[in-house]
Amino acid sequence: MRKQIILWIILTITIALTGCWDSIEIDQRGYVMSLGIDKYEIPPPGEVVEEEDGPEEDGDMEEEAAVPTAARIPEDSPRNRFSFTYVIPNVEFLVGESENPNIVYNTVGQNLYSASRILTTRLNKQVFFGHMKVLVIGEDVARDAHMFREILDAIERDAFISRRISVAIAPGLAREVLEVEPLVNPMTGQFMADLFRNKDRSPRSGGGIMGDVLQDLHRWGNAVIPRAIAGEEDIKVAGSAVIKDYRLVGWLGEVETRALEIIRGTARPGGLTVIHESQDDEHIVPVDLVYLSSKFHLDEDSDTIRIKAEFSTDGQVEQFFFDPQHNLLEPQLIRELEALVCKKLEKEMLTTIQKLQKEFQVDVLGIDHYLSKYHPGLWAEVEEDWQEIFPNIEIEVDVSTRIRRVGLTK
Amino acid sequence: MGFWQKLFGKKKKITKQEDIPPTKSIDKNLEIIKEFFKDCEDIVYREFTIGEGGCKAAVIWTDGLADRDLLNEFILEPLMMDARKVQPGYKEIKNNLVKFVEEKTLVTADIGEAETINDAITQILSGESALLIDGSDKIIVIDSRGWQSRGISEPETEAVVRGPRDGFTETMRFNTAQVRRRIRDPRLKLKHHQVGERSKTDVAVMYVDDIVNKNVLKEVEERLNKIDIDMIIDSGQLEELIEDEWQSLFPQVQNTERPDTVASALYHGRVAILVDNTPFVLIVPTTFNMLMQSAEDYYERWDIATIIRILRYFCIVIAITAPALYVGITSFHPQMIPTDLALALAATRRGVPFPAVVEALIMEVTIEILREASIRLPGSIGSTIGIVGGLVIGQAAVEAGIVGPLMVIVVAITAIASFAIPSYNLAIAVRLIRFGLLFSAAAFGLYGIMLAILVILIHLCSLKSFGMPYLSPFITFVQDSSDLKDTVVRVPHLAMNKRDINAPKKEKGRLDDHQEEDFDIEDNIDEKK
Repeated sequence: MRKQIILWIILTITIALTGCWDSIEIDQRGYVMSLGIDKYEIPPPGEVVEEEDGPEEDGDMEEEAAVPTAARIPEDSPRNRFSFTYVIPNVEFLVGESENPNIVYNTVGQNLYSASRILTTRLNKQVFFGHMKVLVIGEDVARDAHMFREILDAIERDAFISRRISVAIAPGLAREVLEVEPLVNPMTGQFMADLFRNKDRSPRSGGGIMGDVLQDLHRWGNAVIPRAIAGEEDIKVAGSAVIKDYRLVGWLGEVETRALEIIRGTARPGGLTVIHESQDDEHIVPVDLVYLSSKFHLDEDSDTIRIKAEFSTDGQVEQFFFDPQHNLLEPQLIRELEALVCKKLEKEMLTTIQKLQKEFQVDVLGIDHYLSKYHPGLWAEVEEDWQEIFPNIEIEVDVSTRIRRVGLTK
Repeated sequence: MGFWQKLFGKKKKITKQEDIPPTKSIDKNLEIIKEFFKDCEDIVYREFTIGEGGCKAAVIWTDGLADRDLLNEFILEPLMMDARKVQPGYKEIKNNLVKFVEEKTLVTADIGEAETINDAITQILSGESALLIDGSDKIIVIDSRGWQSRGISEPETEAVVRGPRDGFTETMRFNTAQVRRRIRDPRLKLKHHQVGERSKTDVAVMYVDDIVNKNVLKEVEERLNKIDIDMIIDSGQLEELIEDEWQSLFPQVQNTERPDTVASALYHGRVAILVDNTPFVLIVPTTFNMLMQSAEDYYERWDIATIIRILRYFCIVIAITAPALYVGITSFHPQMIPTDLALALAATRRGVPFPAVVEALIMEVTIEILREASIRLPGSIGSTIGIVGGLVIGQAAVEAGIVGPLMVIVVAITAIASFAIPSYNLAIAVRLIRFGLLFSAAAFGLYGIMLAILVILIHLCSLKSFGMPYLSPFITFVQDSSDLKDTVVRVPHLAMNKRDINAPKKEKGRLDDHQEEDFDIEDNIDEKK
């Protein structure tokens, strides 16, 4: 009995004296929904750096903004390497008490961790990355392999940042993307996360899931990351940045990105428009491709490395032409359309492959992955010099399409 | 039990009374009895003469406990009037008068003899009447119990939609009869005990002789005999005196107002303890699983019953953890909830001046006050006050900015979920545990909740009820895996061909004589041919 009482007293004291040391109330946290990372540049003399875009939550914060902060000191201190943009949703806006959906903080620092800590001198909340949705990296950072790798590691190492966040690279400044308040959903982070989720409808951007990108980079240092472009009142996530050896080497356009995604087999092809020419007329025919299988084959008879990429897709015709003459159920017409789709897809893919092989000389197609998995013998030989070998291998593309549905008729 | 011995051990020597044997003289006996019943003005002494010129006799009973009509018609009338009218006269049977009276005169159903005066006094106080005859050292005790009692009514705490609606009453004899009505088997045994040095409360132990777990039965008898206390008013007191771990929050004895529940338990080899003066019957051994069952589970269709049981287990989880989870997630782990919800929570909690744990405590204490108060409120306005209190206070608290709106939902769900637990004594234990978990969550977040749940589980695993592990059959199959047939699921009655964990192994089959036999219809047809 006495032992029990002593045990209880010790337990109570431990709990009471520990006193909730990790407890931060839910309204005391600043939820960073999206984070932008740019390279710090010395502002040209005479130009005032615009520090905060959104007005502060409280009046006293505005007063504090008058205090010169790190971002305002226009000197090129070695500490100032990055410029971070934090977008924190304004909870006042959610309950309709404020006009501004986001509070955008911009701060300069040597690394993400210390910059976030320094930010707490300007923010009456705790910076919290647990609900981060989007990471936008500025082009300058991505072009600098050293800085890019620092950032990637910081993101990967943080226990609160999810592997499922989306990552994008902004041509120009990441900050410009994050400062946009999209009309549909002014909360930039949520809006962008939703954009990434729309990939199934139109695969014009890369996957952009942080975990996948990190996985690709861990393997051979090559990856594609979606591109985020700032508009006036919206943000577009389309096209992609090609990363080679942990640095940005160039951009792929929207169509090229789609072709790349089809080759990688990571997305459904989505909509595709072909132009059908009959004897007397021309019709625009959009086709929705809903199924994709992509396979690589190594031609083992050949002396050089020859890869045959086979694709098969299923789809349905979305529009033809209002004309009693035509009957989409005619096999002949369907075969013609299928051939057109195949031709168009093949052309797009070959252009993309050409660009990757000749211009960027980087294998983000997944051929390295395929070889290492299915032909480990060959891969062992070429692994060391794959960067040099890849531009010279032959890649054939073979697409087969089946149009299975033509929509409603008559 | 050692604790109780310590507490009441000394009293024994003082209150022990010597047995006084009755003497042959009625005057002497009366004097002794009157001395016992000094200043007891509800004791009635009726002195009279038996037959024509017969000897003196007296009937003693307690007014209100004995049936007056019975006394008049079947005891006093035969002894006083009829004895004069018929042969043989007093003089002829003078020598074996007592035997004659017992055998031929008293026309009541049940008579007996008291060995000592103390015994007779206890009987008188139980509602029997004592007949003293001059010249005999025997006291005839006639069963004349007949007091006003509440009729059989529907048990309020365990109401069912479908199933029998009779409940136990305060008179033990009616209760045993209700159980007996459901078990027409001579193997249903009933043993009487008297507990309480002063109250002399009748306690009956019921069991089915061949099915019962003998060890449990022995343990029950032992613990009942060990009880040393002056009075027992309700079975709740008895429960506390005989349970294994009185420090535990969890009830280790099941109580019920339903005769069908008792009968079913007896059929499964458990022991029922009926206490006089209370409609609540104790059933041992009790496991956690049994407290989560309702009688209706067996009367409704099995699939529905199974789903409802799963729902109940879900409810007990909510009832224990919901406020703690709210505190843990909002204060420590907001990354665990969807972003939109987290932002909405942050927005609604923005004006709340308290940390989440204080917020939770305010609402929890409010709801506990409401619960406690609503028990005492008159029935007609009780429900109104409940609604007014719950809704209005909740709404007002949110508007006043003391608590967030989600907290009100959490507290309401928790309160409702705790009522979904079938046994009230488990439900009130859950109420207490909830607060422990709340503090644990406030100190350590979800980690604290996990720790607290671990502590509870460790305790539950070590707990036993009359030798039966409290968490069986989940932690151990007492006999085989068929024990699981009546737990979170309730298999169809067709498949429930074995008794539950309480029955001894050789009595496990529910059809004892032919449990090995195959009940295949085709076989039977073949045999007939």
